[in-house]
Amino acid sequence: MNTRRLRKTATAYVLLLPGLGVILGFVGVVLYFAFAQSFGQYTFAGEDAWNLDSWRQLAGNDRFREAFFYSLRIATLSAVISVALAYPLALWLRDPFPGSTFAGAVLKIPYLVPGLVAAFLYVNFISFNGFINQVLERLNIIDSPIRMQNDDRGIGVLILQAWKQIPLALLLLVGAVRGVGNDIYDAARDGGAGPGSRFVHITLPMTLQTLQAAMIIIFIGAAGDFSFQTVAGPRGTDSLAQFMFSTKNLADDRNFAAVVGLMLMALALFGSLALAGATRLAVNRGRYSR
Amino acid sequence: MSEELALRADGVSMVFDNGFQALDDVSVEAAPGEFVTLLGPSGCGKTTLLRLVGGFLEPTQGRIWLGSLDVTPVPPEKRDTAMVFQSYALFPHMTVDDNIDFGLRRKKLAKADRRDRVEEVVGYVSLESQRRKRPEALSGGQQQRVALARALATRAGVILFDEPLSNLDAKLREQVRFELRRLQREHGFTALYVTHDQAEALAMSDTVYVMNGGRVIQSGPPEDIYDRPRNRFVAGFLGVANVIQGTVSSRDGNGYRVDTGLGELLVSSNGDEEPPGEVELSWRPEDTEFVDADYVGDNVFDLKVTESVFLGNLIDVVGIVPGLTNEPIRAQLMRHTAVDVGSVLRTRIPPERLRILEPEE
Repeated sequence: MNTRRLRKTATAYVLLLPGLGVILGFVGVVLYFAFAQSFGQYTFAGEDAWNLDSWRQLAGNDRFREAFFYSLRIATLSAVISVALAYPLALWLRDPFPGSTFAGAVLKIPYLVPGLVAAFLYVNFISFNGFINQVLERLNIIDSPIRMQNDDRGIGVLILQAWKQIPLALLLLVGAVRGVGNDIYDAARDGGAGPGSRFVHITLPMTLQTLQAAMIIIFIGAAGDFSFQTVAGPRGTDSLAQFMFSTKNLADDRNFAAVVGLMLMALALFGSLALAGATRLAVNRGRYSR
Repeated sequence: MSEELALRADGVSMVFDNGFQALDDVSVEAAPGEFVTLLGPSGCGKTTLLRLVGGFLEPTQGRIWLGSLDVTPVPPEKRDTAMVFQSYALFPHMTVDDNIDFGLRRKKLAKADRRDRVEEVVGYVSLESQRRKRPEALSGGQQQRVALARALATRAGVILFDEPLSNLDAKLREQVRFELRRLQREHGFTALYVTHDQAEALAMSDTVYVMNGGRVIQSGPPEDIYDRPRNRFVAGFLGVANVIQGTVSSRDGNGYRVDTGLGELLVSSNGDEEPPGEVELSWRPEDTEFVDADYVGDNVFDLKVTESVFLGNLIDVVGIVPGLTNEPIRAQLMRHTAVDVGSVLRTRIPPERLRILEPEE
């Protein structure tokens, strides 16, 4: 490489520094702290020593295992439910009709509501003395209130996740389904494909990349959920974020909290990639079915 | 409903939600194995009619029959039709084979039958070496062939063509035109073909329906329509025509004498009906004859050449008849005739080539 070219390249990197600085300075340092903490550094309350003690705690920790699989389940189901409900809405909004812009805007409102606010609004509905119980009692459908809040299966959290994430999925999927030309759908109909077949063989494969992107974003958000879990989640099971928080704040074990945090990041990364891969497999499998 | 017809659109009208009337009481029919073309300018309703036959639209009035079945309310996925779209509408995420196989899978054919059928139609359109490619890797002409193969594979009773050659260059268009006609003859499918290209319509069709303003203006074999256009629109839309005004002055044997800007012209009768006094006369430029300068007879005049254009196989001449009319008259000569601008040609129009046009509605 000649000197002039080298200087040009170096200038380009220097000009990139403000952007790279933010990434390296804020994200990289935080990641390094978490990584180092998980190996016994930055204990703050005691002596630092490089070791695997905190990682060894993972093996026999039932609360961690439970939190990990709970978060995995909630994140997976949230992503699947959100896109499953968003697809019909996206197809409905695909062709403009009177009021479609307004309908689309209304459907996106939940995205503007902060998670914690959404959780409290939801609790107003399902709490012991909440709206649903009051209506059911007044209609004489039930004699005494039903317990719906903090259910053991995390259904409340899933409802909240879907409510909050459908607008995001919708935002992405409307654009994608609009990208599939009317002629393509007409050709599929002409070939004998009914609505279900058109969805499986045309819509899904042709919007696969957007579908994967939506799944990944929703999975990552739901895997790291704290607010919905705290307000509406089951009392006996923690999410990973909740477990990390309690490990640090209640047990005052920063090193183990860092391990849980890294595992949460690993779950978000590998879980979302696995889900995207599984989505591709499922879509392709559907494509080659009749 | 006659059993002999493969397709019949009977008194079909179509008014869209915005109030636009695309079709007004249109009737079209096709016998099995017939190549029928809907020809007309943009907005004349030909594609709407095609989409009605395909089931993509439902008429506001009238019925559509396929064979002996009234399919008016039947959706496209349940009709015995296949369509070749103007954009080809190939599935971009599928290979050539998968595109062709798509309709066969929906028909739930056995895997071996599907494989054989795909191989067969791929052979018809000479795409054997492209079978694993996706549409994006194919040229326009190859994509057009895949679209045709996809339609042929389902062995639908009627194949609908929505201006399928309009995206091809002139040379390829001509080549595919011949191939399409050959395939239609070989496989005997009934074709309903939409185009605004009169050359395509004349070259490929058994029957042409000329449409304008949502109505069928004239239908019949291409030669009939070309030689005997019903009105000024048909005469002008199918090729080039000279049209002049005249007044019928008398009956003369099997024809009429008509006073025109070119003098009195003798016109062979094209029907028993007495024409009205004021008429329009039409003839094709290639029907013009050039005679010796001292020739005397009916329908003879001197044409002063104002323009002469070499068209390859022909020379296109535009001229006026000094002292009689300044309306430009077009004529065509064989290419080896020398024609200079400003020269005067003794010209004759055979009475049997003159046509009295009906007034336009």
